[in-house]
Amino acid sequence: MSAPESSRAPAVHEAIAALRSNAARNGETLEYTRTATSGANSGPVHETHGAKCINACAASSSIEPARAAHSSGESAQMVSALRATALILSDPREPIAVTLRQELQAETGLSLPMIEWGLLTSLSSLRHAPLAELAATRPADASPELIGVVLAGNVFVAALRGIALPLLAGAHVIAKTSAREGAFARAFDAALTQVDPAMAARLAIVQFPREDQAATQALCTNVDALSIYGSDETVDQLRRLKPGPRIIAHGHGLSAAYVAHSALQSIAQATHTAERVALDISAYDQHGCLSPHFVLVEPGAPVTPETFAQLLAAPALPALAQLLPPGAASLDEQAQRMQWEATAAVRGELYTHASHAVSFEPAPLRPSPGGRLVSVYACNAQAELRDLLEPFAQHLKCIGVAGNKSERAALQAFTTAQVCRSGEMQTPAFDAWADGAPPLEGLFKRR
Amino acid sequence: MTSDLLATRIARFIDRCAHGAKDDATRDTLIAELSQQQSTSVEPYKRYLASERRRPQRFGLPALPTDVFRFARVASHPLHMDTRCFRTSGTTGRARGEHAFCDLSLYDRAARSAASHALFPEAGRQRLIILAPSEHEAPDSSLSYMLSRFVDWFGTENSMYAWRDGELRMGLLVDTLRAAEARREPIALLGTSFAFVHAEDALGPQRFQLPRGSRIMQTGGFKGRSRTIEPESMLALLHARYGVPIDHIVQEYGMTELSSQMYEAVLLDPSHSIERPLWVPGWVRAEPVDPVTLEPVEGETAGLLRIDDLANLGSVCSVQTSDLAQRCAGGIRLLGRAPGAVARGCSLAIEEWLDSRSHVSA
Repeated sequence: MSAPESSRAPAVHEAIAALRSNAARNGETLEYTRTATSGANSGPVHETHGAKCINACAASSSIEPARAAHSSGESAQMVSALRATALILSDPREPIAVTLRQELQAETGLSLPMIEWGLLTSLSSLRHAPLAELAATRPADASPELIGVVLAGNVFVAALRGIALPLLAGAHVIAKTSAREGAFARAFDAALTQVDPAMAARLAIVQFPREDQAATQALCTNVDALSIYGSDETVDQLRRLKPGPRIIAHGHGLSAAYVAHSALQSIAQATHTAERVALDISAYDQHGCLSPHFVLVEPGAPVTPETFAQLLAAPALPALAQLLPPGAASLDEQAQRMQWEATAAVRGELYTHASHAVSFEPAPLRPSPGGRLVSVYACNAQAELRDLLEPFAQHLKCIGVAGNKSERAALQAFTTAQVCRSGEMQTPAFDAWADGAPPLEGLFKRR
Repeated sequence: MTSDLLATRIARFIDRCAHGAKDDATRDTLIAELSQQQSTSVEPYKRYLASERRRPQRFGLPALPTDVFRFARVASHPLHMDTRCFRTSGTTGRARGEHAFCDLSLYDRAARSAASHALFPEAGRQRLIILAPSEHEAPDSSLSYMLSRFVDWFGTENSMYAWRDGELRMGLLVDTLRAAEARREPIALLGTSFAFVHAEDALGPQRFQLPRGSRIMQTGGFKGRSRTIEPESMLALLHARYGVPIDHIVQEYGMTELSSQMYEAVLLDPSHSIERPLWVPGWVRAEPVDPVTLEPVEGETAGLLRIDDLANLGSVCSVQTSDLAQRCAGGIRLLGRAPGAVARGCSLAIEEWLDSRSHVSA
């Protein structure tokens, strides 16, 4: 496998060497001792779809433990450091935060209010209680590990969870940002360095293009585990590398919204419901895996599914566009919008606006290219919902439900996707499960 | 349905455009007439036009975006009159584009005329080695149909398919290429890009020096069927592997939604072997357009490729693609995905769901 001329492999090796050196100063041994077996992937594949394979990972471990797990005092210190880091990044007067906002505008194409909303909602999720509870779930006999994190480039705040969770698990972390988006990870690192240099010494940020095979190989062959946020293709590519670390996969995803009969009893109630669904759609211009591609609406209520589609098209989504304006559409996005709208017009009714478009269509469901384009479908009952979503089941990350608690519980019974209230799809709790697994799954290993 | 008179005029016009002849005024008149008829006789186009209020001055009517072919039957004739239905490649259960025909005679006329000019400009037949399934193996693939016709029109009796029962027969391919080398028999190696990559990966150190006059035609993308290779690298690999000069390696641009094909103009003019523009047949209008105004972009500005294909008689002649393109000397240059495209990360891209737009089905 030939490396491109611009290979960043040396930078990856340097970052890993620095992490090891920092660990050694702290009394930890981070020597990578997993045997490079011939041909077979030496690390167990660690799927997050509800798998409970921490014990399996522990059983296969050949890492040499160097010292006892973090004490409760150290856990408290980690929690404080993460919260202080979030405060710095949240405060627009802090130089790091100012630079971060400027860089995010250039990198993401999102509007500044959208970036601000994303930062505030995600950073405020770093609350003391969930952080402390998560830190406490780390077993006393967990051994220190070096975890690689491959971050996706579609929603910048995803880096927060991607980096903070393994740090909280006590790991040393080398995070590879996407070639297009690295500002958030860099700012996080800089802020953490300010508040807790020792903890920051457990984190290194690297950036290289995915085509850089040498750098990718350097990353994969030197870490104990690889936590991958990205496309299924990215996950598959990294999984094929031999010898490989154990993989914690967060592959492709999409989400859906469901509006139950109980949320459509009057125009006023339906308008309020539409506002909440509009927030889920508009956040990050619908480019995240938690963004709903479809809105499934139960018929038979005083407000019909078609009327709900119209309410979503106006006033709900235009109001959101005032608060959180969409970013400028690239030529590629314009092309995708053209294709999506034409199909919507042919299949059903299309309601367009400069900032968004809503269609009311018959099944089967049709995914959106993002950019605040969403289809509304009538969906008779939860059984039909399951059938409609079945083709997307393996990729379904979240269902936002406008309805009552029992309706959410009924939905949760048939899916491993996260089920939440509508209006909260894009603001999951920091300790929320993802891909059917608890947050720290796969991020530490017992001795 | 389209009037017989208009169909006859279009057929004659395609014949007049043989050997690269052009008459843009007549072409545009015929396109306008055909589009007007289809705007009332093809239901999805009619519905689209009712919703789409923009009317580009240059074209009159907007073109139908290609995704519509995946979700609606785009045909002016009823289902029972179908003689053939081509489908885009894809996975069972996912939305595949369909293009139904009640008569393939105009498709044949256009395909033969374009290939005669841009792919087989020399008189005489050649041995065709095909790296794609036959039309019997893939009856809904427009590529397989076209390649089968190529065997009829341009191939010698010993032309053959190296792709059989869903896989590339490497032993057969190697033996055939070695025999061609030994007999100094020029051949045409025609196939999908991913089939060429499979061959590349399987051939190891084996290299060929195909006789002078040999050519390669490759088409379609990769779409997960093989590793992806950039066009420049692919060209270099094919040249190195088979010993065919780069001005005899031709990329074909075709789509299930169209009836005509475009080819890199390298065999027409070897000076095009660097820029490699697509030659546009005289009965086809290919214009990069602005996605906001739907009007043609100025000069060499990049735009989304709109194609008006007079051979699309029974569906919709005016098709809007998502391919980024620009005008250049010799034709059109395809630019691939637009710069500034949204990073998809973990979000499922719609293309992953909708599958390939190329006419490869294997």
